[in-house]
Amino acid sequence: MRAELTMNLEDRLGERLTREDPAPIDPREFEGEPEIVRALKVWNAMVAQLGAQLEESLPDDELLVLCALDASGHPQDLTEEEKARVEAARPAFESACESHPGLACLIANIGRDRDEFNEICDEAIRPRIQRILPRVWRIAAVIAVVGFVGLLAWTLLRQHTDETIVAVAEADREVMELPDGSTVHLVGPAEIRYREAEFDRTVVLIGGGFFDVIDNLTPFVVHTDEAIARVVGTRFGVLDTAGSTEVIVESGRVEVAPEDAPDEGVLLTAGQMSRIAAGGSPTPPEAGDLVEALAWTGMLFFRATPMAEVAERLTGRFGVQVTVEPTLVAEPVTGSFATGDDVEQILSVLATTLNAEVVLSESGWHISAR
Amino acid sequence: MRVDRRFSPELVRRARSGEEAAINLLLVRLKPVLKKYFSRRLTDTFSVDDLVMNTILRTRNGLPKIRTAESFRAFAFKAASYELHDYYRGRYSPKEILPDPEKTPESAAQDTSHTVGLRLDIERALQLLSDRARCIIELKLQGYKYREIAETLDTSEGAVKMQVRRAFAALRISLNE
Repeated sequence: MRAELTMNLEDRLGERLTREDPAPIDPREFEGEPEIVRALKVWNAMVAQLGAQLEESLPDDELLVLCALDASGHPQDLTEEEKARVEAARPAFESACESHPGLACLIANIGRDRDEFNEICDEAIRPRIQRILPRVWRIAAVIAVVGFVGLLAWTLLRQHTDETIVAVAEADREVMELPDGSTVHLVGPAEIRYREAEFDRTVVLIGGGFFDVIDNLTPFVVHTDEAIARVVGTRFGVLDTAGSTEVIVESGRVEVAPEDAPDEGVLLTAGQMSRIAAGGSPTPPEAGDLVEALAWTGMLFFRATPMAEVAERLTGRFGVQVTVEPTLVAEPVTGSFATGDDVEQILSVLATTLNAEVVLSESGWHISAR
Repeated sequence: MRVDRRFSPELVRRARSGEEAAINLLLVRLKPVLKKYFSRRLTDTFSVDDLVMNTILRTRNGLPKIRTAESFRAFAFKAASYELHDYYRGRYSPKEILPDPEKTPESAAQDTSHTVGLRLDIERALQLLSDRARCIIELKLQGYKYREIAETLDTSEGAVKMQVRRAFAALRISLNE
């Protein structure tokens, strides 16, 4: 019985000594064991003294990292100004290292951390711009592949499970087709990743992308660092910036949830938007000005926009005069146009919709009823 | 010479000159690196996200201070490392020291009379402490968890805790002699 009690006491002492919180151990927890109480008082005092000495010897966080980089053989990572700081602190730092073996461990750790950080930086970022080939060339390419290296291509495709990464530089735009036929209009700086060979309608986006998703029973999912947007068939924009993601829906419905809490989403319908900050919940759906909210895409959006306003915006965008017959000025227009569309293409689509005709004269474009 | 595809000197140069799109791309590319770096060290995702955000902010604010475009990586690592060590140090913030309700003025006076003896005991305890045990205690005082100390010392968490227990056992024996 006594042996069992002793065992429990030792276990309890061991557990108490190795708790994560390094706060002093209250000796009263071992009242009735004077030998342990005395030892704990000395232990607490010793740890407190070590802590005080360490605090006194250690430079601040910044100087610690700089001294550690220098001491671990990476002085090239320091600026001239930082080198001067390290030089000034060197005698005290070296003395501290001699007195505190923990400091030597910290230095080694920071050196290893630095190498690991660089390894992560070097991990694959494989920019590849995939352009949408004209349909005829796509068909030709498929026939060629099937005809000449069909089996080999199939084998390679099966083996190629790596992600496809498409990166678009800042100020660039790229419209690309995904393996399921959905399209994404990437607005640089942006990157999209997905599995080409086994596309499961899931993509990872960094930056801005406007998606036109084809109907399919399998949901289409867009992941960013903060958010998940889940849809069936719709058109919507996702703008991922450092620290938050904004989702704006042009048509259809989109479910938006935090990346780490997929069940805590909100449902957005056409014309609504929501924002998710890192670690936060989505803001409640709010109706917004679609044109303003999606301005970053560079695309043209009209949502029940009077034809007079459409003409005005086309004039502003393309620098040509666009006028509308008075009977059509109030006609509402809903739709969107990619950045690559020119004014003639847009006007001919609008004219077809309105059962109107487009005439180009010396003074510019004019839309009139048929 | 290695080509930095993630943080190309041209991109860094444009970011340093204040071009918003370049700053954004630079930070967008830095974010997953930081997330991975911190996630390998901490299991708490909220802390990881906090550290990522703080580092991004620190990096953004410090961009004009970067001397050469080639030094962006080193600059970002230093920012991440400052934040990480600041986090470690603040992890077990000192508890408020409350007056001991059981301590009477008499017992406090008795403590003072024991101070000299305690000092001698502390000296003895420090002499008994092995370099490895001292290293463990010092890393603990810097906010490291036992698991993290074990990784640093390339050993198991159990072995680290055993070192602490042995150090205390040695102290007990010594005080009883």
